[in-house]
Amino acid sequence: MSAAIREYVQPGCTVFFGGMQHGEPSAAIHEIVRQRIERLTVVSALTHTVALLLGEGLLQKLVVAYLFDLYERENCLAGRARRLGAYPELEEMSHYGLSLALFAGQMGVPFMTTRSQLGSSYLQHNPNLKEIACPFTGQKLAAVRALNPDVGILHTQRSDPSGAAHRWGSLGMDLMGINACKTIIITTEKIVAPEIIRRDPNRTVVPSFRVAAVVEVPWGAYPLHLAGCYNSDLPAFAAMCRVESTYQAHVDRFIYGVADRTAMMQRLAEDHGQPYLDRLKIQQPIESTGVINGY
Amino acid sequence: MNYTLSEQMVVVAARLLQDGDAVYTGVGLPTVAAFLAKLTHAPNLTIIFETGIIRTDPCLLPQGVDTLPSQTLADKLSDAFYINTLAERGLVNLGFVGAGQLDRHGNINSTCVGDYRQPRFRFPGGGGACDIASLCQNWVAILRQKKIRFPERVDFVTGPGYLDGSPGARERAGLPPGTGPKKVITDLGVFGFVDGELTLETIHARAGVRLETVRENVAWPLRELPSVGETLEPTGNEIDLLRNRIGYRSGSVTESGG
Repeated sequence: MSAAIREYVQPGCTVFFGGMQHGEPSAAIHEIVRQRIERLTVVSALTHTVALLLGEGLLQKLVVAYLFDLYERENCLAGRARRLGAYPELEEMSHYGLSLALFAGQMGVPFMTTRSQLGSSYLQHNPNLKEIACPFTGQKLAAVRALNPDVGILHTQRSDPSGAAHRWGSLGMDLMGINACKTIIITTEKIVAPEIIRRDPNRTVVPSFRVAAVVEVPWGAYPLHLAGCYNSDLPAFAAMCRVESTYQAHVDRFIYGVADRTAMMQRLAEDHGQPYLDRLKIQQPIESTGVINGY
Repeated sequence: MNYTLSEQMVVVAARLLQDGDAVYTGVGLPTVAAFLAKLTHAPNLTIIFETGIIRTDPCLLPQGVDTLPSQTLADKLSDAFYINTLAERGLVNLGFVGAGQLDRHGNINSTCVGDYRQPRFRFPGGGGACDIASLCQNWVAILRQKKIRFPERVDFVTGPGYLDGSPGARERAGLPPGTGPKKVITDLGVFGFVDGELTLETIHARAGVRLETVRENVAWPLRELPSVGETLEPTGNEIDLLRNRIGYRSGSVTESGG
């Protein structure tokens, strides 16, 4: 993880994080914090641990539709960014708008259109949204400018060593987001044999030629849930990281004070007991009927 | 019967849903309302969450929109792009949204108060609220009512209502014809829209809400139906389902989604 982040996430670059309220690459985000990579532009939707980059003053710009932590009445992270003189520039649009910006980026076309956001104030404040006329009908449309982040990080349930990875569950903006990026880092709960991936290739996120680095990191989305793997521990995240009185001790102990995610999970188990983590594991797994391929 | 104003809000919202509807809901009270409708008069309701979840079975009450219970045994797991294409195609009857503020013409603000670059107050942002407000055939806002949350004109239109209230304002802006806010449900009353203006229809009188209180908690002279009615109370069955089957406790979920 450390090497992949150091090589591909440069200060000042634009990063997309997948995982829209599901299975975000939190271990990678922790590593970015640990390496203090600064002046980042972050493109993301409903990710939670991205707020640590805000609290640590590492953000230059946020391209988002929503970030709970901007709401300073109920959490401390935006205030910390202000005190560090690192409150980011905001570029806001709706979630659909953001997905279209990334979809245009995936396609390599300059923009996509929608009627969403017409009449809203987003168009006055975001220079990458413009009202245009349909060339065929003259109808008003909102044009959403393409986004092509430098690097995208997606956490997955399993991947082969070449980066052909399976991800399932709700997919938020994962597909267009990761495809829009110039460089892709896959983090994964488990590295598996290529044959396991190829038995169900419909589930493969991107072909391996698109992937620059693969990192195995169990619990890589904690405190978020990940389909088939574990439930979320978000109330604990809110209690520890969104509250001024516990924030510093928490990041010192669980980010700066450990080498990696494995060490962090060991500390969590030491502090709270292994049952604390075991209770997050899936209690009643539901297995789908296998998909048959072959000839 | 004893019930809370939150339960009254949920019950009003649930009753707006019709069997066979596809509803795009935010987290919190809207989800509770959709589950209640499903267990009462709308068994064929389809519930859509913006991270890509489409389900026709209720689930354990999610603490966020997306949880393993809300994903498990879904009808379809897709993504934010697919969900919104359904809405833009006109295939989603109703959207439920929360809001930081709502104004005289039903425009919602979940972005900021004051100047955008130097706001006096910052909300978390609109998320998918603008998409729901722009694209669903109709939408309903659910929020607690305080004067500060009901300004005459919001500083930032996160989700378009009837804009300046003039006839055809949404269509002139380019929004899909015939769309717009249909109802606003607060802890004090239920509002509709007449000529693009928020109009009081009923107050939660049986729960002790007075007309004066509703008027005092908007920042302009409130338009009212010629005879403002009383909101129908929750039935014993609705309260029983809410508390014992859905597991809803007032205050146990966030009050607004979007």
